Amino acid sequence: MHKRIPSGVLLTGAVIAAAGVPSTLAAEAAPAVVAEAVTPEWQAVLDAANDEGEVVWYHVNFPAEVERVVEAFEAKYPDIDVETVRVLAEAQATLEAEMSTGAEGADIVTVANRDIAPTLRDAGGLSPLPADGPHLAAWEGTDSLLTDDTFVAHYVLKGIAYNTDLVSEPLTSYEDLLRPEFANGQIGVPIAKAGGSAAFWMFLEKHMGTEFVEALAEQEPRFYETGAPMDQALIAGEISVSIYSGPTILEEQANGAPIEYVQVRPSWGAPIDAFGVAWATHPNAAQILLDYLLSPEGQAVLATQSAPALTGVNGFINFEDVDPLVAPFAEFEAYVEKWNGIFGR
Amino acid sequence: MSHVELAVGHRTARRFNPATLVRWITPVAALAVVGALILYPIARLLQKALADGGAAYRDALDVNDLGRIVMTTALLAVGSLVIAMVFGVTLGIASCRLPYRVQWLGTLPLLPLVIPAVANIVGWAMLFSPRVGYVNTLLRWILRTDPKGSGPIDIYTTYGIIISTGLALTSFVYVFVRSGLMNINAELNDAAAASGASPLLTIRTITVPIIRPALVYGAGVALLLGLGQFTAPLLLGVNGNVTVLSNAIYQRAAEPPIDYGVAAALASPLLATGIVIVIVQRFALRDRARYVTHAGRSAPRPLRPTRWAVVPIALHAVVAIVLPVGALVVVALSPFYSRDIDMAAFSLDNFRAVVDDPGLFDGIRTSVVVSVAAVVIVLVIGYLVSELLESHWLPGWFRAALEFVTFLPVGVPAVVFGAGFLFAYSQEPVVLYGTDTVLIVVYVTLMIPYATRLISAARVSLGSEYAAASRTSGAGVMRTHACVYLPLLRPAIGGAAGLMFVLLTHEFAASLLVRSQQTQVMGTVLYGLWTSSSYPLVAAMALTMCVISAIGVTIAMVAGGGKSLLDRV
Repeated sequence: MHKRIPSGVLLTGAVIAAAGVPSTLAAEAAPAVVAEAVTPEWQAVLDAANDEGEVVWYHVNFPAEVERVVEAFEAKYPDIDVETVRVLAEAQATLEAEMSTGAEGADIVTVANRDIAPTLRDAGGLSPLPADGPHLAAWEGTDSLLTDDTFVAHYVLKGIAYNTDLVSEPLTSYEDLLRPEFANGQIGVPIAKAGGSAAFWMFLEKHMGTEFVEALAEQEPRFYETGAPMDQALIAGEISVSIYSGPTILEEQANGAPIEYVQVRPSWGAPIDAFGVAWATHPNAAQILLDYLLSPEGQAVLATQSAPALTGVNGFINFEDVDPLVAPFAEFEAYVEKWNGIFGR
Repeated sequence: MSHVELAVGHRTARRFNPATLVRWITPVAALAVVGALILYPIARLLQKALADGGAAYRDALDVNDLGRIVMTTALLAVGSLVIAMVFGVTLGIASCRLPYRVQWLGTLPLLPLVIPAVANIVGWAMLFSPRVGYVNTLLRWILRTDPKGSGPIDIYTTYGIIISTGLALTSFVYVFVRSGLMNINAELNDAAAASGASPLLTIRTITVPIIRPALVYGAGVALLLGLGQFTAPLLLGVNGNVTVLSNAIYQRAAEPPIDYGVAAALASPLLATGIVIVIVQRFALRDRARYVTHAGRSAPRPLRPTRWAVVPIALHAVVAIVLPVGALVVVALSPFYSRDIDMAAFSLDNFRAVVDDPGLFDGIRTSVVVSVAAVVIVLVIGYLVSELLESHWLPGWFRAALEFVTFLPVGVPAVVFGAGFLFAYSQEPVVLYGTDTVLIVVYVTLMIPYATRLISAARVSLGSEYAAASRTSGAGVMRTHACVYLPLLRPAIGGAAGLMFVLLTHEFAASLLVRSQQTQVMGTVLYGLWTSSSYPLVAAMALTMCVISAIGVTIAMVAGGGKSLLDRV
């Protein structure tokens, strides 16, 4: 249920200049060409946020992604410091503990685990999104605005990466993975997990067909728990190809690693949900940061190596090129069983 | 009224004496404190498992491939135990026979403990990855096989995990065995030799039986750690579908859909095994008098040194320390992880990145402060408990209960204990979540069995004659402990402090769940890097942690002293 937007709120008319779709590290974030109008209500929130002076952001993003956002945010709001905390798989447990004990902790959270927000909401643990802010209105009616307290901040992309020392003919599509040269443990794949990569495998099956997934299994790939060790194996040459790498691997390319990255389209992107917590120590600063993430400028900075959740914003790829394959959790659990059968696990 | 303690096993009937009531205060208080620390989190966890008529146990039975997971767990534990016992005992005996000038080599088998588990496994992977592992690349060159081929060794297999786990557990066994061997009296070996016994017969009939407490305790700890092993299967087992109970427990406790009840239910076999092992140990060591090697007449003489003792220690050092640490150093100095070692590209950039990380110093400070505080507290608890376990005036049932409770934490995987701590200390009546105090409480609880076992293994060999002589000379209880037992146990206490400091500064499984998100410890910093960053950064952080742990261990060992006072007489 969406909260009625109060009358008199002026919408931001920022226009982001198109910068093309880069295959290298950074997508330029075009500056806003229309100054944002601030209502008295929002000014009061901003003044209170400046007094708070700090906001704590729990996230699952790669450090470089967050650093870009923090740098841009603090340049815009110099009186508010952002403290970032990268949370791991235990995030749900600790957020519930903070809620029940009132311990000082998160002000806003961005996570991939889609169980967390509903669980906290049921316990009254979420705060409303910044309705008084200048940017929430642009999200009305979009799929990325999930409820009045949660939105998709961006999509973490996955694509194909390969070792250029081992692969002479570049890959351009998922079909190239079935080449005979990639048999016998040359391909790195993630194991299917209901809370994460199962959606990727379902996306692959949706766009490439079940026969493709079965043929991929016959290539006898090597399995990995997460993307980071798979990337390291690719860079070292333990595997020739990875189907679960992201644009962040281009940072290793910049360090001289012999890898190349291909963003296949349509692309799968893991949705990263964003919300503020009801027990926030800095509730006003949290509203300011959430509003920034809702803004086209924030979206562009956040999506430098990912996909934005808003149309009209240029990220690594555009929102329209992403298929996150959203489905009920039970479907992911059922698919994991099917996947185990295909891959003999 | 005082009672003189006579030779072991002698009891006299007595009337009720108020002093007896006072005498019982300390043991009852010790049992209550230890019991509360250990049983309260376990009780909260079992409460989850038993909710809804034990539904969690029914759900646990539906876990995919549960039978294979249990068999793999047992295979991994037994295989790594065998390796650890063979190497640990060999190294323990060798270290006690080192020539005087190279006795410092006795610390080498302990050094693998200084390497964080994540880093140790990553180091093994860098050495033995089938295609790009440094050792495999060298072996293919030696064997003249396809340089771009695979093997001959694959670390990502069951046997690879067993060997890496066994080597990691070797140091634990070594700690117990060496502690026991340090108190062997060479006069016993000389007497056997004078009676015509061969060295092998002497070892089999004299040495091994005397160090039986150390062997039993060391094997028990190694077996339970092997059963609860988490890091090696997590990092190495995915490709070969090698899954153990600890992995299944972690998935239920940390990955959606989270189910702490099922996690607790899956941990129940490990908990039950821990109980069985404690009972077996009690049965195996029921007559403690026969392990006393310190007689009232003279100090124990050390075993005869031999130059050959250097060989097994040097070999172990190369395999368990030089190779994995060397791989970490190479990768830490490189811009990215590669099969090819390009020394021209070496730099300190990764170390600078680690040093510049604001979370790192917070993690180091918190780890050191919390670990030192926990070690000090748990040494007091461990000394008291080990003394009570040797108090023959206490009924056997009481000592059995105390030992049972003390040893329980080893039987519970750290990740499950972490969930128990979270439930216990984030809800009424005890709310400690979000404070550094909760970390201290958790660390003390986790280390109680280690402190008790290490001190107890040495305490057993001292017997009760020293106390009798001290009391006869007019010294009270406190003076007996301060002037007699503490100096004799100083090496064991120092060793326990060093071991626990290392274990706590590397700890992350329990810390992940119970710490506040803004509190970093070194283990969580390293684990976070492994999940999101490059191997060079992981290697640089791991080496930094090794240096800090090594400093802490060195301080502890120096404080403990290389030899007991009587060794110098």
